[in-house]
Amino acid sequence: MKTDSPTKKKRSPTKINFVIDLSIFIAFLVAMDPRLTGMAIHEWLSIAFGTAVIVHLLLHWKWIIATTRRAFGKIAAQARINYILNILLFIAMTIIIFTGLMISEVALPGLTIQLQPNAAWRFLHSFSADAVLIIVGLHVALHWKWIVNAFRRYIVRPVLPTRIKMKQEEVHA
Amino acid sequence: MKIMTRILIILAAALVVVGATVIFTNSTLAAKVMPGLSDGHRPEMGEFSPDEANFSRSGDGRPTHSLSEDGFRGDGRHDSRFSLFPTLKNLAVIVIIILAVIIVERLINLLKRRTKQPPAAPQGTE
Ligand code: HEM
Repeated sequence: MKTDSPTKKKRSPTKINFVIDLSIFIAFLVAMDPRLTGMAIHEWLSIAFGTAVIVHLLLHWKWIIATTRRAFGKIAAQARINYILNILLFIAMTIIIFTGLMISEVALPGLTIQLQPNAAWRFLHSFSADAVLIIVGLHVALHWKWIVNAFRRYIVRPVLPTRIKMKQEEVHA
Repeated sequence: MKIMTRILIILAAALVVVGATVIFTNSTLAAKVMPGLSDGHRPEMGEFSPDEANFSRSGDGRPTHSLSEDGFRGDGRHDSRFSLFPTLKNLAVIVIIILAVIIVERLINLLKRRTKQPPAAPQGTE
């Protein structure tokens, strides 16, 4: 039995999560290579990235609260590893963005904000970027099944039937 | 309102991390963990002169330390030509980690299945 009314189609939360997560992932890869984009794009993109991370956390709020409550009790090893990894990811991401702002050469000076950059911020910036790369790898790996399913559902399936239809039309023409 | 509270909680958590980072960088532990940084040297990222540690800013706020043509300090970590190689390298690191985790997961599952033979019904996954 269909419960969705035909006029008001509710957007799937999984689809929204998938689109946001994919965008965050791509933005992260781009931010990891400032020489590819230039400094201005690197800094502004990464600041926007910070906002996207907040949206990501808001969308997973229920999970965060539920897992935090259970974290100190008895939970599966994988769930605990996942939780610790997410905390590390949050810490490292915060350090990257904070140290990035401290050494900003375009964004903050452009807003006439002068900070005191030093070598320690620079070191922490690239060190935490390297750490995040590894944590992101583990984070993606632990959610691999979900990612593959979402990819099939929202990218492969919508694209494939159109391709098949187009080929059939080509044959009939 | 609920969303605002949640955003404030996230920002407060971030502030705690920022506070800890600032305390860490000013601590003696930082000098041990990041040797040479207090005098402006960053050994593992190649060359840059000690006076860049607290580099000065010009009138428009831009740093006055010497930048290479593409706006980066020539720290010897990357070459300055446009290239997708670093991005592909990062992607490769992620792919290797994913493969390693999947292989380890499969091995653990295999070992578990071998050590205790489950009853007929297949186990549901998460
Ligand atoms: C997702 C967040 C970010 C990531 C993953 C990231 C990553 C990186 C990486 C990998 C480098 C090269 C480091 C090196 O070659 O030693 C870099 C450099 C830099 N980043 Fe970021 N960054 C982020 C956020 C930011 C933000 C928010 C700002 C400032 C608003 C910023 C400003 C800078 C600057 C000024 C440099 C040049 C440092 C130098 O000359 O060595 N970054 N970043």
